Amino acid sequence: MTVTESSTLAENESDLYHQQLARFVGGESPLIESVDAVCPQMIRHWVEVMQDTNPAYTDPDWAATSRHGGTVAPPSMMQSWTLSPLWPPQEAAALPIAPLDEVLAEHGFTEVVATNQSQQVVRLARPGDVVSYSVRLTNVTETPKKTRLGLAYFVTMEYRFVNQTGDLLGTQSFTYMRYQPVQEESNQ
Amino acid sequence: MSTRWMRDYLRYDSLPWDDIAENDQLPEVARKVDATLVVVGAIASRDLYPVHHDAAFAKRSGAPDVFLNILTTNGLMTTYITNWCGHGWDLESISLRLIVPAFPGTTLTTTGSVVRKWADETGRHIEVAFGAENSHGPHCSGTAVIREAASTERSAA
Repeated sequence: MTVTESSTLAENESDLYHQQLARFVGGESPLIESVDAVCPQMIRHWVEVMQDTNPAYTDPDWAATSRHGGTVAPPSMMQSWTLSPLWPPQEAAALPIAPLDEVLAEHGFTEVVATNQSQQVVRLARPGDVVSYSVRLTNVTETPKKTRLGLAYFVTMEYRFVNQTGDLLGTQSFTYMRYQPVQEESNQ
Repeated sequence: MSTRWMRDYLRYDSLPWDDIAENDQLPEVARKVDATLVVVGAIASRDLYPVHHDAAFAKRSGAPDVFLNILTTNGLMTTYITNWCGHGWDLESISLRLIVPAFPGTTLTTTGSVVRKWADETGRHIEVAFGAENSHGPHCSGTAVIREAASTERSAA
């Protein structure tokens, strides 16, 4: 790819935002329920990886006498409860990012990597809770940015996580970039 | 359920408010990143995107190997802070930015410092700035806020 082609591409991509991407911003999913309830097994698998020493997550005897009144789930797990299983295939959730991702992939932005995550914790989930979430697409960069990995659009979403009685567990902001891999650009 | 075998590794005390001061450094923690950590982190966080478990797929995406997913990094950074302060504190918020990916064969070294200590109508809070590095450069940086629990024991009510 020559430099000239690259700058023409950048202009086209600027149009891409206004003509095709902007309309997805503000889109919000319905409330989507997790497949599994919060459970001690998945909590322990998480704790094993993180080497978390908080007895509120894995010592039921101690947790029962603690301020929590029983074990609780680590707050960082809030999104993990809601992610899709590998099998069987799920009916595609009505996520606001799905059509945006499709347009970007059609324009060569085929690869994805997460760049930012922030979480605000309101209350901790407990074993037996069923977590549901909704997600809103809040921002897409108007023009693609140059990154080490390649030209990229940054997409930001805001999540809300609630339990089965509608109590807010927490919120999350998540940004990922969709990029054209550099390998292709250097292949002139 | 038996997690009694874990008890020697759990922490039953907590850092007192008076023992924390602004500009305090948190102890440095080094964690070896290998393919096992990348894969079990991806599975425990239920992030099944192949760049976090399939090296051939990762290479086709332009990465030299599989790499830690952001949920695992977020969990490691949260745990870095909550293992330091103990169970008498709750995480209120955490915000992080990923910089250089964490690949197998590297060591992630995490450091942190107390940037703010304050009390308001919602309780007593500590803000920590943290960062993790490996041999390729900075992996992530961010801030987190923890709040002291009013009581650590179950109330009579």
